[in-house]
Amino acid sequence: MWRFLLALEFKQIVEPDFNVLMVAGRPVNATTAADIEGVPSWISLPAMMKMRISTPHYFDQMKGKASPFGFVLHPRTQDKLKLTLLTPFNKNRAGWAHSLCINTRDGKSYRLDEFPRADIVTLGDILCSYVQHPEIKSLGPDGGKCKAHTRGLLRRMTISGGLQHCIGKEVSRFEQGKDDFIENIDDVCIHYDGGRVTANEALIAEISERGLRQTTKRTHLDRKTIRAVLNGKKVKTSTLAKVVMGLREE
Amino acid sequence: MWVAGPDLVASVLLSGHFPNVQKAIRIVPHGKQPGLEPIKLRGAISVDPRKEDFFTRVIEYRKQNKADDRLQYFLKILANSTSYGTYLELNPVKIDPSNRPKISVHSGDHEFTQPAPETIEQPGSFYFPLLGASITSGGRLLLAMIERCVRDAGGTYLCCDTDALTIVASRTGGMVAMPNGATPIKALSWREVEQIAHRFDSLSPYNRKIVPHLLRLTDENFDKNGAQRQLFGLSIAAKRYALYTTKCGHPSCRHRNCVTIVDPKAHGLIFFAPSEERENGLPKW
Repeated sequence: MWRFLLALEFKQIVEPDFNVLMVAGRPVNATTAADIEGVPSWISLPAMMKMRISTPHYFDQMKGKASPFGFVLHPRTQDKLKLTLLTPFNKNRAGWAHSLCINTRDGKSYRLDEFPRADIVTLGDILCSYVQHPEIKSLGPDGGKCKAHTRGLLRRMTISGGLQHCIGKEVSRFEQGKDDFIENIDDVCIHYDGGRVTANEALIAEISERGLRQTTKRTHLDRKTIRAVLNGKKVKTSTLAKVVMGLREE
Repeated sequence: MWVAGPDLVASVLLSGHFPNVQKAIRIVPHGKQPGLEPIKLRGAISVDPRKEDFFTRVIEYRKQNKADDRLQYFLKILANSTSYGTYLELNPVKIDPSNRPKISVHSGDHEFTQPAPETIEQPGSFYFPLLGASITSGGRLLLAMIERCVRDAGGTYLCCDTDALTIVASRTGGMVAMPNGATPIKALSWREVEQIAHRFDSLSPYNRKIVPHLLRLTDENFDKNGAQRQLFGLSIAAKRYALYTTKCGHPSCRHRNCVTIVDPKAHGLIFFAPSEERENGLPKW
């Protein structure tokens, strides 16, 4: 696997515009649509996960085909199909594409070769997503977000502490009316679907009391945004967070 | 927010920002546990916990018995699990949902009661999270210290994980070109890397005759004759990298059979292993 990835990387060093796309389980040159040379033989195989039969439900579905805690294969299909397929363990990779599978959701049987090619996730698809997996804990060389095609020396991501957001056990506490989380964003806003929020009455009163000029100065937001918050309009959570943090700063 | 002390120091080392500490708690050992007695590990290795540090001795014995694979593996598992895992052992226990007891929950300085969930966590015999959290935190501090030393020397690294840093280095050092015309980075010389590693020797709790250095170059850095060799690396993301060598000595080439992969890591792909066959610890695909 790494030999193939290194070969692609070396080619990209020589030809910076060279890029690979997976089309129906086949890696092709993104510019010329030509097949990539030196592709490993396994790349178009269905992606099979080795799984143990660890629940009575799966054991029932695979009765006579697998023993308790024995291994089975789980072919990956596109999520939109909503299938969880299992097939008996088989070392013969050539036969994987024709496996007879059982959908554990409804107990129906399917043959893998009955599905359109694009609905079956191949090892090539997995490898492609693997290579293009962005390193989300780091920033790109330019200080921007690290994306699938970001290359170079990554930078450390900095975190600015500020508002606390209750999670897990803390939420249970919060629901009990404890008052040591007054700086929680949930205290000062009303949540709407889509991640946008409006300020509650207490925050609007606080902004009104401080005045538009002082709030603008403290929060580094423009007057238009502060007016929107004051008028109860929906804003991004991060914007409201800036207002709250700005007002809390001494 | 409570943070383990070593993490705070690591943050200062790497960011240069000093945190505003409102309150600090120091955990101080007091006295000696009663009932400690000398033991013989696997009936052969004697350790007296009253006079010597159990974990230090286990690591030293491991180094002294490198040739004995089974003993070495036993000591490795013993050291890893008892020096860290047991302090954070929590076992899930199902309780009767119709008869859930009230439990005390401690959060920061606060304590409150609430009904227990259906599954509770039963602490293990040696459960002591303050120690468990401090040990991992200490590991992160060690890594941060190495990173800072490398940065101070003008260098950088390919990747890091838990207890190792893959430092960009070559025999004589020099500049390394970066993709997309970005500013080249400096590769430290092997000598500079060695000096950084040896700086940490003063922190070593081990007998110098048995474990000469706290930090060492991993085995991949040496060829079968024991000579240090030039490694190259390609890193995709955390725990997804490969270290390799080339016969031609160039980091990238198109020669046939020139590249040898020496340390591949492919986190998250092992589930798709098509067979039990392995090559350098990874599925032979």
